[in-house]
Amino acid sequence: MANAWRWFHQLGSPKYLFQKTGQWLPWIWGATLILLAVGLYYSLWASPIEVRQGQGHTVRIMYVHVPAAALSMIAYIAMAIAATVGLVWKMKMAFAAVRSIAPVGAAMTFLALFTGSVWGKPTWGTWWEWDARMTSELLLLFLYLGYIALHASFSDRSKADKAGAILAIVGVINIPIIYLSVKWWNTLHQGYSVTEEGALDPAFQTPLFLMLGAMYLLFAALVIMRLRAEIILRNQKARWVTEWATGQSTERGDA
Amino acid sequence: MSSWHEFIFMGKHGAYVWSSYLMTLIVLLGLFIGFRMMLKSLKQKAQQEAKAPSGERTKARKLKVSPTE
Repeated sequence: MANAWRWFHQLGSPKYLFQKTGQWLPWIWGATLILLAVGLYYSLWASPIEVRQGQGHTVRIMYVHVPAAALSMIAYIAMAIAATVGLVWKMKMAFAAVRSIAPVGAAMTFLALFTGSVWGKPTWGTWWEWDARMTSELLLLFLYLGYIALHASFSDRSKADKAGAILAIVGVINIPIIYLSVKWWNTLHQGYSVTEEGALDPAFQTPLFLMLGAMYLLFAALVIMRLRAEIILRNQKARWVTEWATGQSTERGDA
Repeated sequence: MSSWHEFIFMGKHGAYVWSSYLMTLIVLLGLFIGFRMMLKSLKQKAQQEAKAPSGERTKARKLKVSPTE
């Protein structure tokens, strides 16, 4: 426990976090690319088409749609947790993490909406419907963009961090609404397939779980990349940053 | 999947399937390149700051003129 706390405190150090993430990143990218290659092989080639509902090949959209949608919600929860840590412990690196998750989370939300729309046309006959699931997911996109805009509107970074953190925490109320929308309201969107037993044929599970793993890792890798840039942005005056940039130091941290 | 033809056309749904995957690729690749460029430009900025003499650091970057001119 004491070790865990020590580590938590070390992560609050920009220099330590920058060096550590620099060491992790190649491994995360390696695992991502392997999982992604296998996942794409299964999702685009070595998996059957859907016949019971007559979806045919469009079922393959699921393998990018579901991971993107899951990540859009998980990313927001992660943002809210980091924002809470930042506010409670006054941890600057937690705020840097919030700012770093936002663009990647926004991208995932956009992809969930886009692929959902493209999937909706051949299966439901419409690109868009103002039903609970889609509307709340669209709201999520606006929350991400709102956070980014709010953060950018302050010239004082610590004020921007605090205001953004509050928005991130308040906005988390939308997550259970998105998740439970298919249960609470009668929506066009289908119910749970992954968590409900028997809802998803095992033949579709292999590519889906592979792609879920690959996209989670890819998400982590992108957030870490953005975080490393954010750390440098926030510590431009620090001596270790100059040493890192000019390569005068013996420490590793380049990527 | 039984043939390359089926792989490309996805049983008349090629446009839907491929546009989903293509958009995902474009967006994620865009983030990757964008974040990489961001870190790179910050690194260059830090290098230039380090090179410039203290006092006129921001000016020194703009006034780079070769001595022969």
